[in-house]
Amino acid sequence: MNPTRRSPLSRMHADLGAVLEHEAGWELVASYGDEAAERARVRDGIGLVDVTARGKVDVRGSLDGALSAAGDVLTARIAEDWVLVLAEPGGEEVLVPKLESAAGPNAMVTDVTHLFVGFALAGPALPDALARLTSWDPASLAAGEATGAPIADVRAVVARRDLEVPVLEAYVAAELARYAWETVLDAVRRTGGGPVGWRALRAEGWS
Amino acid sequence: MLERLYPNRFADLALGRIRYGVMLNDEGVILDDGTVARIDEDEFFVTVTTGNTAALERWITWWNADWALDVRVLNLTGAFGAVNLAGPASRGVMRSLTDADVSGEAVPYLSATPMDVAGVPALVLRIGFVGELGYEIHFPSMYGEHVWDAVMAAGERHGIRPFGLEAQRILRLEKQHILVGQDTDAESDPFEVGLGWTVKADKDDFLGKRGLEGPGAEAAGERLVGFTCEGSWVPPEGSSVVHDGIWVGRVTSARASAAVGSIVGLAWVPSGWANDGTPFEIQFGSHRSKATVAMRPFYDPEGQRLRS
Repeated sequence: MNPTRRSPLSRMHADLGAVLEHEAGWELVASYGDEAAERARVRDGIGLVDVTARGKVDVRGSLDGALSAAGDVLTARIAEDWVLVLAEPGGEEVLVPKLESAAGPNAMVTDVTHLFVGFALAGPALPDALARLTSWDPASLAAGEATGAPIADVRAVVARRDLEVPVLEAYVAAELARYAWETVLDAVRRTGGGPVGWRALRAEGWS
Repeated sequence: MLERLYPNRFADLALGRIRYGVMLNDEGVILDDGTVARIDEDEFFVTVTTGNTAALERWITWWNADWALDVRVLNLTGAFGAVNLAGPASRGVMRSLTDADVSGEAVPYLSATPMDVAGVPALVLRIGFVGELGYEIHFPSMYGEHVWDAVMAAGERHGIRPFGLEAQRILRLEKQHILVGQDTDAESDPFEVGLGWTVKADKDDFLGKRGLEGPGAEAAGERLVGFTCEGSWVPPEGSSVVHDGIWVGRVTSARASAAVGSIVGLAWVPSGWANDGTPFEIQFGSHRSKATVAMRPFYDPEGQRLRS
């Protein structure tokens, strides 16, 4: 038996003509049929990617030990005693035991891969799209930092990254996935963008 | 923390075991109910009612901050999908889904057992809101379609069918299992709804203890009781319980039960009526019906099917 993990948005992706590929037991959207156009969208405008498949590990408590063991992954530090560690799909299977061992008894390490859906908004039009989605000022967040902020009236963990293009990753409760995706996609489309697959995002150096 | 949050005892809950509990506010009024499973020496898996999750998260987190205990609380509601595989054939279906021993001896009633189900790491809870042998399978939510499809395929030769909330409402009524918020209100305490056994008054303290011990607390004026009803008319929720034409109580839930062969329900009545066989009258508009108090579950009162 080969169980497949699917984003709660998988049927919406199918309606958009998603081309699927499999990675670490996940079904990912490689593209929506025109990879070149999607790359151009990210490079020149804005694209929206479902990055729910990311490995996600929540660490709370005394973080020093866990952070030193995290290695080359994205750490979204939300508070002094709370960090969300983000990895490639399937990366949580390695991360959780490593972080637990390093954190010791003074921190709680939890695999929250399935707790959140994740969106990445990528492209130079990112500020315009965000202006339609939140009153929170993304300029208040430096590249590499993370915080809690409302996106489309939903509580989200957001992390800002500057790659070849500006990228904002937002993680919201999985049960709100469809509402959040539809609302964010609507804002992205009004900004001239649209949905893009993982390949377009990875082409910009995202991991 | 659990000892303070609930009126019953959890410190002695054995690893891999589950206990039912009701959570009370400071006045001893029922806030919520659910199960607590001990999944490690210092780790507990707590379930609450569906609509109360966010409020209970705030409640627990608030008290945790106030008590300054070395406890961390994480709401994992969205992280888990859950399927309640229920019915006498459920063990046979489970055997097709896992290599683990799912016999009644290995996975008894009120146990919490980690095992792979359909190739997915899962926590299997032997609890039974619907009153039958059942396995509540909790698994990482994004395997949801895979697990559902696998369960339905494995159950095909057993005649499996999906069931919805309406069937669940009938089945839980046959067992007289309460729904907090529907069968309880802003004044209901555990003694009034027949859950006094969950209150361990010898504990040093718990939320609601002083409320339950306060003046007049033991002299409950009302009791929530089960009832059967003559005829085929199903009294709507909120129907009056009347005595000599005077309102003395209300129906909180009622359904037609094929298993019992009668209308069954729950109603608040004067506490003196809380005895098997007490007749009373229900009224809704021009409808009137004769009802009889039943203090024990209508279906499988000894719980043999649950424990099988």
